[in-house]
Amino acid sequence: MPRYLAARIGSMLLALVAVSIGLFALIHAAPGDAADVLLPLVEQGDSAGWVEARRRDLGLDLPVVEQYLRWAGQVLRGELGTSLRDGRPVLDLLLDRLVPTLQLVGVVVVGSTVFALVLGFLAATRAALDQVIVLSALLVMSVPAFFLGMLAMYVFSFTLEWLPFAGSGDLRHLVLPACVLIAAETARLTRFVRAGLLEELNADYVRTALAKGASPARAQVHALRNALLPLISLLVVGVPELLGSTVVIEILFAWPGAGLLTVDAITYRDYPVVIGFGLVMTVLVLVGNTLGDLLYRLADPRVRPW
Amino acid sequence: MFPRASIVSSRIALKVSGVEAFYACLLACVLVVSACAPPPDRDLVTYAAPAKPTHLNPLAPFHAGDTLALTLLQDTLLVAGPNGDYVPRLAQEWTVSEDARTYTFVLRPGLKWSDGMAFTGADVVFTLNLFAHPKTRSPQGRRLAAVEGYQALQAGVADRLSGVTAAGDRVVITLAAPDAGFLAVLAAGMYLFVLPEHILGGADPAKIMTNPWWLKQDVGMGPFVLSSYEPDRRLDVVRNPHFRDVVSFGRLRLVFTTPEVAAGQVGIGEVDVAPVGAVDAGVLARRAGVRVEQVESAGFERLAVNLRQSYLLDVRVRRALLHALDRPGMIRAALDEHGAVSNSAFMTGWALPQNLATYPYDPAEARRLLAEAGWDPARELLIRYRPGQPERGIVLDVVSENLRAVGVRTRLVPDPDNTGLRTGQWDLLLYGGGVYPVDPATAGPILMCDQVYPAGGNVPGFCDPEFDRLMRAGAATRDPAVRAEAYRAAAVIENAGLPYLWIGRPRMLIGVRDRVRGFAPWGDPALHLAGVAQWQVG
Repeated sequence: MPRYLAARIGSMLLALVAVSIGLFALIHAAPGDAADVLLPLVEQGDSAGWVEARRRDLGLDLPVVEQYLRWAGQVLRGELGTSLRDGRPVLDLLLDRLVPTLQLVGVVVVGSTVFALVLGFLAATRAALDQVIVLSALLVMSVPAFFLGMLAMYVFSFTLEWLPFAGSGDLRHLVLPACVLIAAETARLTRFVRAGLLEELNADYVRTALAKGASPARAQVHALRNALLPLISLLVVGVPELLGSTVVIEILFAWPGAGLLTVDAITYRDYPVVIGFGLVMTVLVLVGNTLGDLLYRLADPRVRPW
Repeated sequence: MFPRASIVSSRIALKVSGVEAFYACLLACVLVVSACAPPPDRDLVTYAAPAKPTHLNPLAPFHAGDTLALTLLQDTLLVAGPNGDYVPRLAQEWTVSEDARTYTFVLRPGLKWSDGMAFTGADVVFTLNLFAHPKTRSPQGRRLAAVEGYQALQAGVADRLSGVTAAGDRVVITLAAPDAGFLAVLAAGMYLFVLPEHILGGADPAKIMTNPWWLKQDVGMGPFVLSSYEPDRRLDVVRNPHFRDVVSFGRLRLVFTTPEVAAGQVGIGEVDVAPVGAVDAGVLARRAGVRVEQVESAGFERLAVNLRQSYLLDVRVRRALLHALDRPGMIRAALDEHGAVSNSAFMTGWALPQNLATYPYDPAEARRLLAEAGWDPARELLIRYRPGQPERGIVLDVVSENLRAVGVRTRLVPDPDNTGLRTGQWDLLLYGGGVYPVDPATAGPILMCDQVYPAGGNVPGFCDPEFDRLMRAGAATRDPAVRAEAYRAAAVIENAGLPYLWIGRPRMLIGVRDRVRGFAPWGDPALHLAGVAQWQVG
């Protein structure tokens, strides 16, 4: 176990360095920089040389490698730098915005897992429901999340006026974005739960259990536990993808999460925020993967990741 | 008795009822959550801003989102009103000397900053010096180039503008040369918000751009004071107890969403006021409890022509391009008829001649002119645009299609940060905005020789000495007849020279909940909140 964790932490540090270099290179490869994008009005001109002066102030006139090393030095001192847009500490910004994102992602992971288990189980064990659930899942998967979101807004907010349109403030604001993401995630996971469970139900040990007089319900519970293993992998692997979908939904519903912050930061070429977000997400994904391994061990004691 | 098949289906139905119960519980949860809506706050008005603030710093480059927020927190001496007139703000009146060199502003009596300190002419003097100071590097500073002492300040031989003085309740601005359009410099476009000397007076101009006070901004002359600001999310302000007028509600909140979502929010009362697109305006107009206000934009949509490109120098090519464009069709498609075609950058009624060419949609004439000018059909025009605006996306589609129909190939490239503009890699640039109706002198910064980008806003690089002479003649006197004659002649030159392919002047559409009365739309979207003190909230 200690060796396993040490190896994990080592690979995590390597991944963080690689991600920071990759993001740094990508954002510097894009045309324009933070000084350029803060001069938005063409009619204003730039007689005062504002762009060049701003570039000097922000250190954007330095070679990219030197900029990176300066930034890395800050990180080693426990800082993530300050936003180029308005000078606020990146760490404060991210911590402030990660909470809403994690709220949303947490609700979605739990909600979609519960729904996927219920629907996948019903689809695998109730022939009458199978086609309905499979087709519904296919339909939801075929619709982009943002369209689903707009549809939900139109129906539940604009027409029925049951739920708020966008923004944040209380629990009501979480319902629509969470439901949209849960629907999308449930559709994806249900198919795997169903397929996994069908495979397990046809396995020899289930047939043996039934032959020995176990009730069908008991056999299904045994099969479900084994069918959970691929679901855990899917959930872990699906978290980065989910974070991607969350960005779109955060923008649509003006949910004040880290995704929305990062999209704005990309627009403003605010690289400390973009890289800070990248690093935090990398940590979350890697920690998620480690937790996934541990959960796998819980679900199947034969598996020993260390 | 049920037949067997029915018994089977009833068993299935019984089993399904568990699923149904699950969904019923879920629906019940949604209903319960929706019933938990907090009671409406009668003292709070919410405005959905299409542009987010970036720095809340009036010295920094103009940004509509910042100006919108700053109109709540700070104030100007005067402002260009929605009807093309000047509206007094901190100055209650002003006089202009006969030679159009001396502007005297009389401040309103008894004004106080939001912290209770007296507002004086010294604050105005401090502010104008701060904007003009070379170490501040404010892009707005150049707007004060006409003020006496500006050049000396830039050269470092003076430490302040000699042409700006204050005595008692009067502020006097003396110009180096006559400029009858100078009021527009203070009142339109990039606004010179007056700043508190007792807060910022000790700050180093070289470091003031990054002063953390801008994001705190707890002292101002606006109707509200900053309460909290969560970037990208919301900005809350509370009533300024020392504001010169009585504001009828206590709190205002700016929220930042896309225009489409904002339209939905104003439709259901989640926000009270929101600029909306033409299509959404039609939907909102049919909805109870909300109305759509509209006003002609103070600016215009245009395709600037890069006159630095040799193949665009022939005016026949530019005329052909404009004849090729179905501008009424663009306004129909993009704005649902909420706008009008324009044929000049001049928008002040008295400065517009009647004989301007209208360049109607005429593809045959466009083809003829192109052939006459020897246009190379293999050449591709690079059209730059700022992404993210659906209406402009539609205009681009029509432009592209129209030009293709007359044999001009195009390539559309987004230019979100003006990189293409600065590097000169563009042929046509689609953009809009500006505040032009208040005085024809406002067209100078986008057309005169000394304003060629990046020195000023003359993006096409248009330069006509006769045009400049006429603009200076129009500014050199207060005589309305002389001014009108000069500007009309200048407008004819611009209309014939075609540095811009004018598309049109859109109407601003704003969804307003019925509980907000007294809302008057302003043609400059950055000033939608400038009249907030007159709103009555039910």
